[in-house]
Amino acid sequence: MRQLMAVLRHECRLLRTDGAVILAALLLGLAVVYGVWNGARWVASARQTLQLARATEAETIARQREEADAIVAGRLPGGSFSDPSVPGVVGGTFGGGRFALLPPEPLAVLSIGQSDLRPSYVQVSLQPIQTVLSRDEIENPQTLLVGRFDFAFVLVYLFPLVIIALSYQLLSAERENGTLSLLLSQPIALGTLLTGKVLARLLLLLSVVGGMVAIASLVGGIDLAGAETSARLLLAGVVIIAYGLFWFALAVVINLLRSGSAANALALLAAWLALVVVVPATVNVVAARLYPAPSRMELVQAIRRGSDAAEAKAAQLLAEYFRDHPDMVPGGANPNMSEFYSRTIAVQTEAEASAAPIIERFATQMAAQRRLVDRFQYLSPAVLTRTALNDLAGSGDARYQDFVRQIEAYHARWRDFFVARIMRQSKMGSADHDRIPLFQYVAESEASVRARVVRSLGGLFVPVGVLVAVASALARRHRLST
Amino acid sequence: MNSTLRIARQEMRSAWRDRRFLGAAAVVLLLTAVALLTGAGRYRDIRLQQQAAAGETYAQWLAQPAKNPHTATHYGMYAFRPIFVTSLFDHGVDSYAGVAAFLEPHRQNDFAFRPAQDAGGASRFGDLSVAMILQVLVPLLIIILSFGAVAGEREAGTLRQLLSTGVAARTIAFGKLLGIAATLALALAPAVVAGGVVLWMAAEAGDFVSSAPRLAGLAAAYGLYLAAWLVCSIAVSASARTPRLALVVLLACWGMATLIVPRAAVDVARAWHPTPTRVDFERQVARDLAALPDVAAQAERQALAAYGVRTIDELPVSFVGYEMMVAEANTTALYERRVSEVARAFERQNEVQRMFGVLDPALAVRSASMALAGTDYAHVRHFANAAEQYRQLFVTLMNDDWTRNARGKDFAYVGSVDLWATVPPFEYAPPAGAEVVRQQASSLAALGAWVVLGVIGLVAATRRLAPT
Repeated sequence: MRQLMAVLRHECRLLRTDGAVILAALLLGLAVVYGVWNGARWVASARQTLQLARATEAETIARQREEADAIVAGRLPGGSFSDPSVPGVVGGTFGGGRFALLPPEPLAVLSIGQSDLRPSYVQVSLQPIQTVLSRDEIENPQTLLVGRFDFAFVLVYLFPLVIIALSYQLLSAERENGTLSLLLSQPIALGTLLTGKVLARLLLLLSVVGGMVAIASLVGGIDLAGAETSARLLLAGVVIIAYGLFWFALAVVINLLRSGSAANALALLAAWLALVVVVPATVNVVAARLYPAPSRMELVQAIRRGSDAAEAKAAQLLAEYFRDHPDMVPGGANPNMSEFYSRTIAVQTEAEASAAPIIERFATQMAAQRRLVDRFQYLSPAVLTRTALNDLAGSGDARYQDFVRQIEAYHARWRDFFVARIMRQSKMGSADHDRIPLFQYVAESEASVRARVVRSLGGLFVPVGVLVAVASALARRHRLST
Repeated sequence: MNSTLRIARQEMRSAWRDRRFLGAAAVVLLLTAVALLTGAGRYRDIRLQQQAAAGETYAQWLAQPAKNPHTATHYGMYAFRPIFVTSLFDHGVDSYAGVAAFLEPHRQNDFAFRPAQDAGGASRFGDLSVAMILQVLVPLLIIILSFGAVAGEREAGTLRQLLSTGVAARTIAFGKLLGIAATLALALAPAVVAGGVVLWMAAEAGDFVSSAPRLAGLAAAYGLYLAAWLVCSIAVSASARTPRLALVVLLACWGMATLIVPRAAVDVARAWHPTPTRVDFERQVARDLAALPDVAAQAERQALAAYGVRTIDELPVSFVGYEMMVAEANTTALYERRVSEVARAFERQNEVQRMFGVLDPALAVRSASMALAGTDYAHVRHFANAAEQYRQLFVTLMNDDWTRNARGKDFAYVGSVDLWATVPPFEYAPPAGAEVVRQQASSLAALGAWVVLGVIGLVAATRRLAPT
């Protein structure tokens, strides 16, 4: 232990005076700050968008409540296609409805993840759930393709490069300078020496990353308070350490294989290229071939076949016409107005019922495909790290799937509420408006988030363990060569 | 000239003896095989799905029972985005743009269902494709081959020997350049042949011929791109004191070009040309719709003027139908304006990214490659435009029939089942390859400039190599 501390102190002193090390640490620090700042900007604009969605909705609700009361009391003429006393209108038979919002989580600044690809606000209405879920955020596909410069990018791509720069000559430099034999003639084990060297570098990089995240959060006004946030931050720290350890362990093993510094650097860079760039990209295309996702185009057509069948049963020319053109229904206060909504809903319900097995099958296929493809991520620590960070930041797949499930449940509640009123052809006053079900986002339980992160961590620590075992075996057999 | 060739031959011989290079080349070839096979399979699947869906949506349109023509437009059709055979080389934004849009009256819908949304987070690491291999991996192969070309000789002391025998420094440098270029060409030749064969097998009759200009453009773009890397790498090798320094500089350049600058360009582009969010957009459209003039009055004015009559009752056509056409023209113009505002912002963002291509050849070649493969945003937009034109066509045809024939019947008018066939099937003609090549001239020029810059750098570096 005393020896380890001595090595550590010595290495820290060496690192402090090495210009290249300082430059690398500085660049990493800058990249971290920029990444976190970018994430903070992203979260701020996401919050603003949700705010706007809420404000827009509040305006509509206020207007509808007021108008509905006026119409029910006979102060305003009703019967128009926007008559808010008609349940079919308020429920959004042809669009509208209310937002289900997915708020960003405190650590969202760390990883934009999949949140640029999936809308965090979804307007739930009486329209079929597939239509409800099909509205994307407006985003340039070329931007989505490239991806963003966020903290997760810095960590997954650049952090290992800095580790490689700091450790490709962990032993080879000593060997090349002839100091290794000198060092090992002291009463110190090779393992202790290596541990000390790695520890010194790890501590340096962790303090750079941690310090910069802290500074950027302070400047960016990111609130990291709260017990759950702290726990997640701690887990994020463990993820960073695990990923870092993987690269350090790899560097140690390669250094113990006794090549020159240049060969070590090339070998490590090749490993980086393979694990961070090539393997994920190859896995993506191979997994997509082995387990193709069901076709969305086919789904669109299948649903349409279902609704055609329903339509054929319920076809009544005028009703159909009025469904398409509520504004064309003759007369200001038309008694048939409510009736035609009930007919529309009847057709829609029938259509959805016949499409349900198709959608069900699609969802099952998709889930199975996801499970299979997800297994492949264990092939690359880079993918695992990114997944773990996305999970901790709340910008990953699992959280969004959970959000979609909540939307589906809300959609069902919404329909129950409105379909009953539409079928009864009742009028809605402001009191009824207040009874409209609200979407309440229920955050995932911390336990399930943690379980996912721990799974990813397991996938990270297993190769670390293997590498450490290989390294200690190599170190034990290490003989001073002349 | 003779000594240049001798040096080139020597360089080739030592490259083929280099296990590092052989290993890397083998991996690149293997990955190319994987990329070609998966790319061809993906292309075939999506093409079949798209053709089946597009055929079915039109068949459903034709199979409609007799109904009011305008009601038929509400039944509508779907547009499904097609895939180009050249996309098997470069997937581009294929996975990040929607695949299906519902074409209906009164509004222009976006293309929904981006395939990437159905994929997991790992998909954001990118797809392995021939384009990715050429843009990201082959430059590394070039770096491995050339970082020591001159600097290695200098470190080993053989450079001075060579120079003292009277060989000009420039001859050495260009001999090395030639040798490495030939080595690379030989190493990549199997990949090029395989690419040609896979394309030929995957392409439908006619596709192969019509994509000839695109393929020529791709060859030119990648030829220039790899030449730029090669020339610049040797220039760096000739300028660096040690091969290690040359390697570090080149790897740093590679990292900047493929990792950092593209993402920075995205940030700059988004900051300069912001786009509305969905909420903004819908609010704006709602405001626009509310601000539209009273359609009934507008239609009455126009109809009376068009038919030279004084009252609606004197019109030879259905006024309700006429009104519908006026309303449709209003909303079409409104959506066209707002949708094209967003599209223009995207185009400007991509323009900014292209401008960064002057700094970063990887960006320049990416822009050119996606465009030539038919997988860039411009192609997505081109198809969306064509779909919108088709929407306008069938809505106009139906409303027009209704207006002309429904006088006195209005809503009660029923179009015969023969009417649906007056709408032709949606035939999409992608932009001509030659035209796309012309549009990518600036990216190709940027790549050419990099080659020239590299040559100048190399010549300047060889001046300093003179024997002392």
